[in-house]
Amino acid sequence: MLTDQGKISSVQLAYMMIPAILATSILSIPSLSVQYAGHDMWMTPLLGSLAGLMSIGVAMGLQRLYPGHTLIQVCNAIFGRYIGSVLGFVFLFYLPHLTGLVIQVYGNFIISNALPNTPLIVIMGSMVLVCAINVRLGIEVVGRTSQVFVTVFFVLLGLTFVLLIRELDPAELLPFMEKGFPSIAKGSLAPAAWFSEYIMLAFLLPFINDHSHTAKTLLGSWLLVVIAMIITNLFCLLLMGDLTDSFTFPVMIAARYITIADFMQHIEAVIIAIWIFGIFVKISVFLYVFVSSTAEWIGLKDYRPLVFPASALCMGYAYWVTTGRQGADSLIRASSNIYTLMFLLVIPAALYGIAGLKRMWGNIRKGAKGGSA
Amino acid sequence: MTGRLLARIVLLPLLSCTLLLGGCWDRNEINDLAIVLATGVDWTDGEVELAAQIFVPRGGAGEGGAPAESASGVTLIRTAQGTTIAEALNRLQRQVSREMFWGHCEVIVISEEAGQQGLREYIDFFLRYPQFREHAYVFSSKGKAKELLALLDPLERNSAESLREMAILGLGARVTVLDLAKGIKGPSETVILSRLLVSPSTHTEQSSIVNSPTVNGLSLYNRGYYVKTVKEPLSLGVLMLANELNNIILQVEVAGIPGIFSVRPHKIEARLKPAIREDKWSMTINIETKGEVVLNTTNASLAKQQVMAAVEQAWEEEMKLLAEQAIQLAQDELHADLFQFAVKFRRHYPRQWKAQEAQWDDIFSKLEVQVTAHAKITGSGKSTTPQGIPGSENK
Repeated sequence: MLTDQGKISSVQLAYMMIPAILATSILSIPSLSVQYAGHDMWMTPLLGSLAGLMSIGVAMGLQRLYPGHTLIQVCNAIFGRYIGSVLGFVFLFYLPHLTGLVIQVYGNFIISNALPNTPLIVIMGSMVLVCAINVRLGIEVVGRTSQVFVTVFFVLLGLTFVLLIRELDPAELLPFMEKGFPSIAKGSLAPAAWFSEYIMLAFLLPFINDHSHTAKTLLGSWLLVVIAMIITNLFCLLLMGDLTDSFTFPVMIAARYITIADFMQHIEAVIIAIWIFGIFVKISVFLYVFVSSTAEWIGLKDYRPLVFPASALCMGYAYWVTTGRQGADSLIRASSNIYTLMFLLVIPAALYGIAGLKRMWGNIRKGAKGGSA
Repeated sequence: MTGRLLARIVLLPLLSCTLLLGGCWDRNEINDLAIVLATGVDWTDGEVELAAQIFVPRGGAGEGGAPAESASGVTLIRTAQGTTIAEALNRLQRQVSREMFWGHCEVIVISEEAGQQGLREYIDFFLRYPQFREHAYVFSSKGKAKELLALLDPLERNSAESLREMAILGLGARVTVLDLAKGIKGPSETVILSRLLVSPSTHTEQSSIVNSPTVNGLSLYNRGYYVKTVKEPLSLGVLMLANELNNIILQVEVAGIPGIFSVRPHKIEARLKPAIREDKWSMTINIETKGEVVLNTTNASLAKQQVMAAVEQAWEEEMKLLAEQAIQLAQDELHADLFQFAVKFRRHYPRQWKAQEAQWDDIFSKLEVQVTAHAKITGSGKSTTPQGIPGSENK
């Protein structure tokens, strides 16, 4: 029993997931990964994307074992009402934390780059309000808005990168493997944490109305994210080299660096636009997942009454998760990536494992019964 | 039902507010801004002196027939001192009635005197203060930077524009703030800046500030500090090895042929090939150049294959000499890795580099550097045989 009767196509779901990963990562990943992996940082999304594959695999697997069930319902189905509820609560505990962090990162970015005098609450509040309205209108609307915005997102991002090409120095790719594989693995932790957000699929797959191409479409979205992330990293590296990690938002610096024919300059506003398009979809998706899971957990028939209270809670979290930028930085750095990975990859994977074992056990028992009969 | 009605009752006044709140409460219009076109950094009385060239919008010329754009009087200079560059900037604002906007500052001039105090403070500021552009071109100046900014170039709208055009044209080294930071932070820790001076005044001009800036030589920085100025011909070699030599005409003399061939290269490329063999570090530099002859004061005809070959050879020799002089300057005199050899070693021999990074200064001074040059003359200009020799047709 879903709390929303709307249906989306698998393509729409793929569209929703792209900015859910990319929107925040294009700003943070380059400087995070260069810190550990040095000039090999362009490889880190490749390694990190494995986490994405695993998340997609877990989500699809759970969907295969429990068709039409969201992750919260799967918890109940596996462990029964009481333990299932406790486990579901773990996710309900984590989701507003993650959403709050995203909102907070958004607010800080806009403040430091575009609207220094505007109060944080206005910036974050207006975005959350719009996202809440989007979420309240149902999954179909979220799906469609993301289709439109993600297209714009890619066009603008592509444009920015094309304009930068002549400033790049391919020699910055060397030295190859300067810091060795362990550092690359460490640098991959951040992209991996972002890629593990693909687990949102476990909450959203039940809303799909065409199950035949889902796997292929989702892998397509995964590939697109990998490529976009590698390209972003490459552009930052080839432009700034060792300096990449000394900037808060390297992509902003890269966009500011564009100067073509004396008039194509100061287009960093484009990056802000890209970011807003992306973050709108990202917050909407996370908020939707949070709200619908809460409704399921409580046992409501309709998730809508929860949208605004839940949004307000996320706003609260946006203030609670961190104090200032240093705090936010520490929340997206190495150790916290493990925290993210635990909620988004390890626990769901464990669930999948247990579900698989249970199913196997059930089959064996059934087999044994059948044999004896 | 009642909930929906309530929502409408709340929403209506909220929405109507948007009609009144146009978002103008903290507007910052263009005529509230003082747009800085160029920044100068000087060192005066033990303090940083920051100079800003501010664009002066023409009053009332907006509508109707705008007067023809001419140089004089469209910019003004303001300077302020401070113990740090940030303090100087703050004091600078005290002198200007509009909010200073540095986002259009495309040129930064750092005087050699200020450079002696170290670039670190300036680099950090330019990369941290939100408005400065990373793409702004950085120059060095012989005298005070503010004097350069104060110039009113008759050719361009303002001297910032002249400097920017000069950087784009490739007169001297084209270095942006980002390049500067990369050079200093990189393993070589050096940077080469074009050096500017006020061109010797021509008598026809009315005032001494109606003049153009001139690119004259290079200022060399090592570990973030100004160390030396080089002028032609040494600066040519330095620029060549930094792959920044553009827009140049070289004089080539061939032994045995009296007179001079002037060659304008289309392309000069120095390829650095690092090598480590049996713990012995060495660097091979291949100079590849192509160009055409633009002047021939000798009696030799360029239509002849031997003459061409001789000119090419002499040109190669000259390039080699330029390069060797520049290397000698770097290795023996300054002990500064001006041509980013360290970057090359780090890229191609990461393991050895990591192991010996600390001894790089030693290694660099003893580094064996081989220079080879390959020159090709692609054309002899519009003419083949020498022109303007009296009566040569009759011989």
